[in-house]
Amino acid sequence: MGNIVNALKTGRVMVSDGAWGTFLFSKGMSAGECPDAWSVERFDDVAGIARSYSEAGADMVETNSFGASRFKLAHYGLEDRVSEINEAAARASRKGAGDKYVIASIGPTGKMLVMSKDVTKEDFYDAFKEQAIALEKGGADAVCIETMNDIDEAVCAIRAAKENTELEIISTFTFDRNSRGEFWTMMGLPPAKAARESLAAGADIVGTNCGNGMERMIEIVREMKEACPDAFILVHANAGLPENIDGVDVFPETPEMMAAYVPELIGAGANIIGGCCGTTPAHIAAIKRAVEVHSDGIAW
Amino acid sequence: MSEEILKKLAEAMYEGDSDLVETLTKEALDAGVAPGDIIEKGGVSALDRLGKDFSELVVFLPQLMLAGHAMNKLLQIVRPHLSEKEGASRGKIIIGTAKGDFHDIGKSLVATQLEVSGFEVIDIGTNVSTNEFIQKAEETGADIIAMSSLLTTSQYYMEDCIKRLNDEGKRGTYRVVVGGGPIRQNYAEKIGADGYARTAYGSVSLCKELMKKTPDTEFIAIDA
Repeated sequence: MGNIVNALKTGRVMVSDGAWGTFLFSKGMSAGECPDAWSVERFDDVAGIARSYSEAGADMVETNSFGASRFKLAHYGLEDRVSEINEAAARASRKGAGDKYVIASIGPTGKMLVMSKDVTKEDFYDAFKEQAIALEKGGADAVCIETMNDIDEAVCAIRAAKENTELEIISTFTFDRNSRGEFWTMMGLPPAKAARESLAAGADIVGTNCGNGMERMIEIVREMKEACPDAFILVHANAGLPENIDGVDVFPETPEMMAAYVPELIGAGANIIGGCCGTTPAHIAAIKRAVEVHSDGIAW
Repeated sequence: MSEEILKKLAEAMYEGDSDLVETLTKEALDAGVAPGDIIEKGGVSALDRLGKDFSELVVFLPQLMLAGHAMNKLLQIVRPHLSEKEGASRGKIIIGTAKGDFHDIGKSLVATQLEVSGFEVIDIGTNVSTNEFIQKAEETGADIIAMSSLLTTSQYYMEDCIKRLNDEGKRGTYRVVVGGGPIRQNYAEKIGADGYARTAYGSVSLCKELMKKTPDTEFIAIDA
């Protein structure tokens, strides 16, 4: 099995997976349960999610470890089980993904370095290191550090993975569009700087996830590509911007609607395309078909 | 002279410069500026502007937190100079994130904005059960129960809390407000809350308005 960056160097556009949280709820998880603990307790269900995406045509699948840092697991009194839970998450996706790549999810700690007296960058580094080592042990090919807002926190995670594992490193951020039409994270980080500083810290692939549908992701990718022309870029887009129906947020874009943006997204510079909130294996299958049509005539 | 100091103070507050806020607050007191004016014109006005700018994402979270810190400094200095009436709290608020949800940042932001606007705020953290909300409200004699949720799976507990208050005949004692990423005005109205604000900035005017009314009378929404 080669690595992801080498595959991208051939010019190939790859497809990633879709949402995990909603999938877990559909398999019976209830509010208040620790989603990450399911990798241990409901291993086959978790592996089944990875399999669904793999069968839908994803070239890589994530893991059920978004909240499996010691900081997040502490909410459930599980902070002493970081290694076990992350290793199980990687094994579950490895089992479900077959010969596809496993990109292991690492989400934010939920703590803020700014103005916080009780956490330091060293604490973050140690927590991410512990998580990344266990994910590698469980069979991951890469870490996908995602939904980041703060460049300092992302850099801690990138360095922790870089210095302690052989994993490839993906680093993606969540941006909002402000009243002037600019993209920023809530910590005040723009796409260009996020990409530049992630690469400088050792990330192999940068990008953006959540917060936006495909249409806005195109603009974000353009900004990253302009700042870092040689960067490989991953997009995990929501199924559009949520619409409120009877007090509940619904993600409006169908698989076909999302897939229709694929050519423009590739044109903007995206190398890996997948989904985030509101996306399903059907969305990923449609994105896969669109990527194949776009790449038609090029043999892999 | 006093207008000049207040203007500079508001600017320092907007920039979140605690040291300068401290110096200018003392200067204003020495110059005889009314404590109420220092709070309103030097502090709250700047935070209002900042809150609005954050809701439009033209300023960012770190600046908002620094300003909250600076405002607390200002209040520490000014409070001993307030008359009993001026120093009175606008109302007591119990705030927390609903059960099953550990998201802290948005809720804390609302708590800070309410606190620096003169409310007495008791932040009971995240993953708060219906029991805890009601128990804490009773213990502290709260005027308002404020519930936050970023997860659609936790918003059920907002409904649950209001239902429990109704069932136990306590609904008339507390004003209930709800907010958070996926929470919308029509949902808040449907579950029988007293009010909803879209942003942390809006929550301040919402709570001020609600304190003028008795609980469970009319629904107020602030779409800002």
